[in-house]
Amino acid sequence: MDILCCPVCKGELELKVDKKEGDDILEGKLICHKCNVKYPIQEGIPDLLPRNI
Amino acid sequence: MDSIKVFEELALEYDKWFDENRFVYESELRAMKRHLPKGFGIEIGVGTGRFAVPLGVNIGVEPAKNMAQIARGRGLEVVEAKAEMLPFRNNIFDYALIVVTICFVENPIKVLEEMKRIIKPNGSLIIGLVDKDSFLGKIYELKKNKSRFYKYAKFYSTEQVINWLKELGFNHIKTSQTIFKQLEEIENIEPIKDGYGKGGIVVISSSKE
Repeated sequence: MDILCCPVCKGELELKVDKKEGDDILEGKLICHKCNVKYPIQEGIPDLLPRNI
Repeated sequence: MDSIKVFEELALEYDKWFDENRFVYESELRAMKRHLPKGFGIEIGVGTGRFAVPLGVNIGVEPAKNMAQIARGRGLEVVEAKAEMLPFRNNIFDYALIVVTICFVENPIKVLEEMKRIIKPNGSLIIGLVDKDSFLGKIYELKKNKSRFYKYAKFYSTEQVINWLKELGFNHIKTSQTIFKQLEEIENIEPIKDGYGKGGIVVISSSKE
């Protein structure tokens, strides 16, 4: 988590966890406040594909 | 986005190739291993994890969800992202690896720039590719339109990629090559030789500054 950043502005991401299994985050969101984008985490895989580009 | 869609649909078929061509696969793995440093590593275009898992790479980047899920099932940390826009902070990794993927990306120079950004100073960038100028590159180029995987591929020569690395300020550039015969004739592990020019698959390693 501490190595990730927004793919577009390279700024910080805020993590919101919805479902966890041990240390594994299964469902949640990574939020870039600067770009106003919520990147989903689904089935343990963060989807950080750039939006609207 | 065409290549990504293809890999999304053909994830299992892609993965099966490695079992059906195990000597080719094993030769490629050995050639990559030669160049792989120790430390915290990432593979860009990790696919189903066929290289990252046996090579002990820590994290994979993959834009096709179906492929990423198979890689995750093999125990790898996977992030869905685009190679040209990597979601990692600067100077994080000891090495970054990209294997037979540079032919599928939209903008190879941008990808190499992004890989440079995320590796530490003195970190390594390792590229495995089908050399466009080799016999294999020529075969793939001819078969391209009939192949579901390679239809959207754009192959590059080793020389071209080395020029990009130099322009981006990489140094200590080293190369190895393997796969010296047509894939259907390979019934054993192929030799690995220094340099390039004869082998269909070339591994290029270089270091940042």
